[in-house]
Amino acid sequence: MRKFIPIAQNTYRESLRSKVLYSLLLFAALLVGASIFFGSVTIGDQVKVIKDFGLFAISLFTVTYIIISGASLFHKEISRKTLHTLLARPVSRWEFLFGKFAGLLLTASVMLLLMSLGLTLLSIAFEGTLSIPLLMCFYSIFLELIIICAAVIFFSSIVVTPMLIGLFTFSLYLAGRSASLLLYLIDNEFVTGFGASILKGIYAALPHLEMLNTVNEAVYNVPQSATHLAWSTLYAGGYALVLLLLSRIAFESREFS
Amino acid sequence: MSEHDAALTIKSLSYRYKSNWAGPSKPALKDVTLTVERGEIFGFLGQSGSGKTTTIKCILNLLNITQGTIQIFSIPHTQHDARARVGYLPERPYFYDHLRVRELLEMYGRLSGIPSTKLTERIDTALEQVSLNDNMKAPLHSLSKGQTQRVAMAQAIVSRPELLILDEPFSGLDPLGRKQFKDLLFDFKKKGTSVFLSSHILEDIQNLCDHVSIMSEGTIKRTLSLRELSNSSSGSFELILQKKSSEKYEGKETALPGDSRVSLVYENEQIAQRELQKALAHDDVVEAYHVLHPTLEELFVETVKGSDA
Repeated sequence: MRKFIPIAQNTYRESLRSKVLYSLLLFAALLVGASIFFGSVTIGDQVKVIKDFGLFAISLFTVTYIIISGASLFHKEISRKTLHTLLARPVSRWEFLFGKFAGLLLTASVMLLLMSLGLTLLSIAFEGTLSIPLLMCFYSIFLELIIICAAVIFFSSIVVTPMLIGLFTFSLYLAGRSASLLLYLIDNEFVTGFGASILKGIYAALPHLEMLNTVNEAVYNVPQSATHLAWSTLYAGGYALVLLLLSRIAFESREFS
Repeated sequence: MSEHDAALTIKSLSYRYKSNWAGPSKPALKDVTLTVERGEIFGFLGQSGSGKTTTIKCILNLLNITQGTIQIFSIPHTQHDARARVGYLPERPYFYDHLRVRELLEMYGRLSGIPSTKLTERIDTALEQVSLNDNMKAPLHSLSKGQTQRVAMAQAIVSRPELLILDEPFSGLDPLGRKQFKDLLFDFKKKGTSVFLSSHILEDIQNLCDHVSIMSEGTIKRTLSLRELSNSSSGSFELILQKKSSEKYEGKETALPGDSRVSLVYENEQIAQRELQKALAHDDVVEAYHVLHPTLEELFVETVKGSDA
């Protein structure tokens, strides 16, 4: 199983040497910087605006990076046939798949770490103290990234076109962020009977990213409970694992001509 | 040598491309059977699209075979242990642009399971074998086609495999590079490495290989030993003369470089002998008289044309 490590390192190295990562980091830094300006012209607590805007930027750019970079991850290996020389070695397809997942997650995590560091320093500069709920929110974003990375790997294993992979992953992200809307439709009887049962099934299958969205807690300095953190961790890990196992099933039988 | 000692055994291999919306699946390989013995260089010949690369992809488990069995050192080809003993050089190799030569070999070495204590030494040896020591820090995107081919060979041999599968290994190489690769293959053979060599270049195959299989339209049309080929007769005789007289000779005449030099080819030995005596009786100089051996090219053309008919 250790063979996934060189593949993960290669994926990480490729990201570090690509322009996409640095472009997005620059945009994120600009957006966080812009939050200072918006905070200063907004009535109310400036630091709240900075945190809100900063967390939005961090989440948006890390997810965007995963979708852009991840969508072409398998396609490049297949179209350039570099995958052939990898799989011709004693490397299982599962190790390849998990290596790609780990490399992508590592890059996104480094990106998250850098941006989080910037926002934390900014928050300390304005508040004078280290905000624990803010750190917890970074952790929640990390959990969200685990799911998105697994999703892009899942779609890469069943779809060939990068654009479709990106589209499906982004759709899953949006649907996951607004999954409770389905419950609203059911609870208020906009949809009933068989339709409601289908919606409940879809709700259960979608990733509950809202549960991992703790921006409000970070902005209003409300710490998450240990139970919530534990459940979030278990949920994100479990959901990603299921997606990766499904990817494995699809990828094992795939042919590379 | 028994079948169990073989480096590669393919039995009744069939492969069909999966069907799409447009129609039924298409057969790509039909009943392919061949054996590569340990320590031999085995040539795999065929026209473009004959199924050579598809066969290699089946061996490497990149394609799911429809029927038959493939064993590498008696281990089913789907198992890791089988692929751990194989080095593969792909046709038209392409590697990661973001890596340097050494980084690429490090990655492949680790994926092949080379212990970290031996990795540096193995990489240095592989780079030396392909004469790329001076380019080890070069980014892969900066290499020429020939240098990329050398990297491809280095990644195939870095794990010191017992079976080398080479798909068009001489492509993109200059004459010196081709000579180096040939010498390298002979060295591997001496050390007991088996080589499965797919190539279009008949001359390379004839010079290097012990056995050859000729593939056409997804099936093996002929397998032969090149030693037998060089010992066999085509049934033709050649008389090479330097003509001094105005005497006329029978036979298929071809002018040769030099003053009045001709080659005369006969299908009938009696006629050839008679014309030889005639030349000796006149002033014409007999430079050579010999039995003609069939060339691999002739056999290849005959086999492929026969299958087309």
